[in-house]
Amino acid sequence: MLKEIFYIFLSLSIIVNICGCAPSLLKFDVNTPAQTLTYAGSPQIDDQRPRFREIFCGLINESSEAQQRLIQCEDYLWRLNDEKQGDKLSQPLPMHDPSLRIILVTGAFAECFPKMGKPYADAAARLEKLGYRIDTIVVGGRSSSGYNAAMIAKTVDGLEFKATERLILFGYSKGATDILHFLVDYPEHAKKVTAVLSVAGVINGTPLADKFADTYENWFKNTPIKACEPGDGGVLKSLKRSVQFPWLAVNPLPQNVRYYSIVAFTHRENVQPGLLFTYDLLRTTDPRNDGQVIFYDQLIPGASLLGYINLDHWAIAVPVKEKTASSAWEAASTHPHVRNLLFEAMILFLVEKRSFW
Amino acid sequence: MFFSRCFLLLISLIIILLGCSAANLQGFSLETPAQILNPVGMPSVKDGRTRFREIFCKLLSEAPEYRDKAGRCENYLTRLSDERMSAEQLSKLPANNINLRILIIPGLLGECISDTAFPFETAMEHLRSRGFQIEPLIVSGRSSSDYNAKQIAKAVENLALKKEDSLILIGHSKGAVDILHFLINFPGLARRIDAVVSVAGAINGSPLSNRVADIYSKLGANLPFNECGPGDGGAFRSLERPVRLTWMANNPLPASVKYYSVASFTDRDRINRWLVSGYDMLNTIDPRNDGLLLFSDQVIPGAILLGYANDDHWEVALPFEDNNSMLSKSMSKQISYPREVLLHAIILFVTENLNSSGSSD
Repeated sequence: MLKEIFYIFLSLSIIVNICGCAPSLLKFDVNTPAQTLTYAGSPQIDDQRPRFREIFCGLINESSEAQQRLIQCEDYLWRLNDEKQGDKLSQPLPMHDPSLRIILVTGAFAECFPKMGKPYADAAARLEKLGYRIDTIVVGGRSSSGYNAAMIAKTVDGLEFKATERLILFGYSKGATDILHFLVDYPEHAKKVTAVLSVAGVINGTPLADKFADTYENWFKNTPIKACEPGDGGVLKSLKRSVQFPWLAVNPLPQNVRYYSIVAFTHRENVQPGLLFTYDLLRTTDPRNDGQVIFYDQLIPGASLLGYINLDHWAIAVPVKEKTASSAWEAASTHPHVRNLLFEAMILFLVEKRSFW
Repeated sequence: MFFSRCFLLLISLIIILLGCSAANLQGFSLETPAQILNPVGMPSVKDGRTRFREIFCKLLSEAPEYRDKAGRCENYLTRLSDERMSAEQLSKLPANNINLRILIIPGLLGECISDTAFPFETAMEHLRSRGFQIEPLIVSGRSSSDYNAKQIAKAVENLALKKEDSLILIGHSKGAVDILHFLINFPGLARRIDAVVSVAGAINGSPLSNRVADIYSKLGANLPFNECGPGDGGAFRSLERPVRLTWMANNPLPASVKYYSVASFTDRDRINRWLVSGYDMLNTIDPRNDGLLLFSDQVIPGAILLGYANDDHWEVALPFEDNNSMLSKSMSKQISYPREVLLHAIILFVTENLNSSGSSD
């Protein structure tokens, strides 16, 4: 009997002490290893964080603008507890190589907000001056990944390459999901692709979409909006964890393509007002999210993990904060400069990998 | 632009209205593949569910006590969307191999209630009568996994094995974690182990432990308790999620051992009343839990996934009903989980898999 009372005591202590009703069972804890939520048979993730950190931090250290704005690399790149040390340059920064042909793919609803929906628009303009050919595919902002895969296929099909060029697809947010669907649905076109890089990619879907997709389909799917057509209306359905995760499990990605992933998550105080509500909803599942996607849902199976960026889902790639700022001072925040350097670091990392492709 | 902003505003309002009523973001859906949370870089989990289901269901159909009242086998093994169907012509059951030595290690506080219920207690008796060599290995119920690893090491060291014997360790709940610590802390003795099986194993720990560990170390760690000493008091700390995940990331498991995992989860109606509050708390993260652990936290990296037992954390292994314990889900033995079938199916699967030099499914 005594032992049963002991068990009951424990149960009660669990109820009383956990039901102290903190919003989440999980703390915002970065003393944790990199994690991935995956399916049985999923290929392993390859950890490339130390080298990416060297490149990103090297660029920040070399940038006078970053120095003026007191941008510190460690403030923007999380170091989880399993990342190996290596923040002194083991090799010099790679030289730029404009033979990478870059295509950026926009995220959900980006088409509806043309002034702020294009990822890395300023950063791409900088690198184009160095000779890179960089284009952006504005996919259907309100359409499913299957629908947008056809748009990507059409663009890729129409591309002409120089013999030395290598095609790299950058997918931001749902853009990454759309790219994966393109690779699976159009295997012939996929042969033209050398590498895919996801930035805050909704790879496993997001539980937020499970919550809101039906509402969108019932109420807003056909609502006319000037800047973006309704498309097939499947934007949120494509992002449901219960849709995207099963899709991944039964659609192995082509092995001729190399995959890379950059993940975003940040503290609540760094989240833009427009993302706070969804951040709080996700916080009950895991506080390490970027306001739209949980950190372990952002890795492509079999990808190389480049790093965890300490920015929210928008700040990592699109200028929402700057475009909606109420003052010039606010608009000139550090984010645009960090984004520029982050984009350049991603390109340089891929340039260095080119010799292994 | 005006329309875009109105649209955004409308969406935002709907989101807020819906979100305010949100208890959790995910429903209890079985239309999902197996989900496994692992530190990055861990070996892939292999899928053994189809063959395990064949074995389990065949054994269940032959068990007299379940023949008429068990209902379909699917009631006991949950089928997720990515599990392949069996071939129409089922292959034969593997033969019993009595050259297996099997040790079963209990979970958290298991020592404290070992005379009320021990994992697979009744099932062990039945299987022993068929010639299997199965023994309980009681470890400290209130100690850390490192502490218990020493107890496992001592037992393994003292075990007289014949040349033809294969040694299998089966761990329920924290028992599985204790086994993994033993493998890392005692690599010499780990070479004697052929296979490790986790049943509802707390492999990644539990989000519930994150809160309980502090409370326990302040209030409960030194409480006297007849049946089990305080040990090193580190039991709950060992089950904290960050502790477990960090440990997993830093300690690659020996490749000489084969790993197997049976996970458990069920719907709220089937949860033991003493576990309902834990279930509800975990429900905020994912309703697919067993009252103490999330389903995605129960698979050993690199293991062969055997299946998802459709019951709560205790019911899959602990026969509380045999002693009319107030901890039992029901006083009726007729509706208890078929633990004997589960244990027998695990043993047969492992036997077949060890003999087939690595093919899984």
